[in-house]
Amino acid sequence: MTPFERLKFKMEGKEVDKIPNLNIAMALVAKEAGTDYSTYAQDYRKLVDGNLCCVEKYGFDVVSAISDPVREAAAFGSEIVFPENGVPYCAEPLLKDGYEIEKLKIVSPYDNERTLDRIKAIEEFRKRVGGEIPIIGWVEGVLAECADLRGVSSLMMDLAEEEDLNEVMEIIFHQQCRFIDAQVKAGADIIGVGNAVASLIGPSLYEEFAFQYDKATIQYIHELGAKAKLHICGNITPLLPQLKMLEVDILDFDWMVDCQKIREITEGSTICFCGNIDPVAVMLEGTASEVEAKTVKCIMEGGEQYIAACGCEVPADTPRDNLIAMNKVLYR
Amino acid sequence: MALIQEISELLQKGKAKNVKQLVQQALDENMDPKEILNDGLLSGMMTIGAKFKNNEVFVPEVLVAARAMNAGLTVLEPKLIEIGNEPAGKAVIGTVQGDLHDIGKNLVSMMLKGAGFEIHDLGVDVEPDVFIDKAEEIGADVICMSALLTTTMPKMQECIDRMKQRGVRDKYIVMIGGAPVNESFAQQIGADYYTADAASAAEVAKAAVQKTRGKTL
Repeated sequence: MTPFERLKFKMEGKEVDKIPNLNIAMALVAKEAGTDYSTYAQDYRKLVDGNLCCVEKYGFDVVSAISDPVREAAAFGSEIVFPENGVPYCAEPLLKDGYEIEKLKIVSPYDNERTLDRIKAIEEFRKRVGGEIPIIGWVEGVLAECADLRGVSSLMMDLAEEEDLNEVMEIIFHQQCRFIDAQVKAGADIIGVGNAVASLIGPSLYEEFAFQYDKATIQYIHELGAKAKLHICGNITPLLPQLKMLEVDILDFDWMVDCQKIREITEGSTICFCGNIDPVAVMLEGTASEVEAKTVKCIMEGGEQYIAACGCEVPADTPRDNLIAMNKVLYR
Repeated sequence: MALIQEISELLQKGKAKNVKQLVQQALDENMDPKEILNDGLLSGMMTIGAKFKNNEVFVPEVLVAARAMNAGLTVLEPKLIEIGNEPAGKAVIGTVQGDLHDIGKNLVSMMLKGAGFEIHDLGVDVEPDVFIDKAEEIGADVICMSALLTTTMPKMQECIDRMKQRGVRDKYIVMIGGAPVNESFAQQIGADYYTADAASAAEVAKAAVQKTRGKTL
């Protein structure tokens, strides 16, 4: 089976020759591409090369145009800092003084260097491995993008004060849809929606401020004929009943979420859930046999809907043997 | 006592203005500032911390409660200084060099303050020597380091190694936290404690300082 067939069959509940390996890698991709993080985040050719190395060396079953959360913030007008070997970040939140929405630049994703670079990465993936390896494009979830623009702490206070965020969130949602559209047109099979900040809030604020936008984003991805993957690192256990209602195709879950719990809650749905292997305690610091044991445990506990991955990004210094050990188990 | 209880309850609801007013009222009624602090502000913050640990409240609720605590403290602190109230301990806290994540660090800082600590928050992207210099300057009991990235967690080790080089490692309780960090990493780098959440960090820091002071007395 090709990785494309494998993941497609898995999501359709059919038999596969191997449980797909959907590890998320960024710093590791830069390392495999033989470059620094800053170059990897700004040059789609390096991002593509590094991803294809991970497919070949470690058996990853997807390629992914992920690098950092501030591509859309750049398009909105934020000044971005690129540390040589660190994740790019906003020099300061564009909306640090409040929701002055006139500060937000509304541009086509093709007209900003950073969003265009991601689109080009997907086009390049399409040329090189399209139809053979699933291609994942990425957008920030609406709440996460709001945090990128406002600052996480300020947004948290705003949520507690029940500020009216409707206008800014509508603008963000509209722009995210344009970016999704461009990535699907470029050849993305799956769109990953990164909404890590949602793990900091409880069910009531998630319902009030995030649920409807996550739902609408996923619906929009489906309307374009792509699949949706939701990534919220951190402990999402309190949000699971709501996340089930989003009708996402793949739900990522971090190491602190109980695998059996997620299986119970998603029972009766077609959601595949993906993750749970501790990226540090197991993947980075564990032995190959510990990685193998944890992967087997996840497969056993997760059942038919489980897809293999670390709970969050695979650390760059992960021993090669551990990555290989994880992948080998997936063929059993 | 009803007034003190009300301060604690309003703090938990994040009502900063009301907390400030009631602390002033309590002082005007000649209530003991220590009682206002311990049974009103700190007790309210401890309750929020316990609820946070149990997933009953989340980050936004903790942040507004902490803001209410700070509002109360602005009124209370001059009185506490006047009567010579000693903090539960002195802590230096920051996110390690190269890492700009501050939510977890801020939560620990607030919980420590809620446990009666004097806090010196160095912010984010803090170099190893800056932690040590500040600890030396203020006579800290605890150094708390936070990291959210696997690429920055080795900076914790660097700080501890630097403390050893400077001959001050044994003067401080070193605590670490953050999503990629765990107990085995803490042991590996020679930190004294790892805690998984902000409320536990405050409990552990308080107990560790009491233990250390017990030893030295």
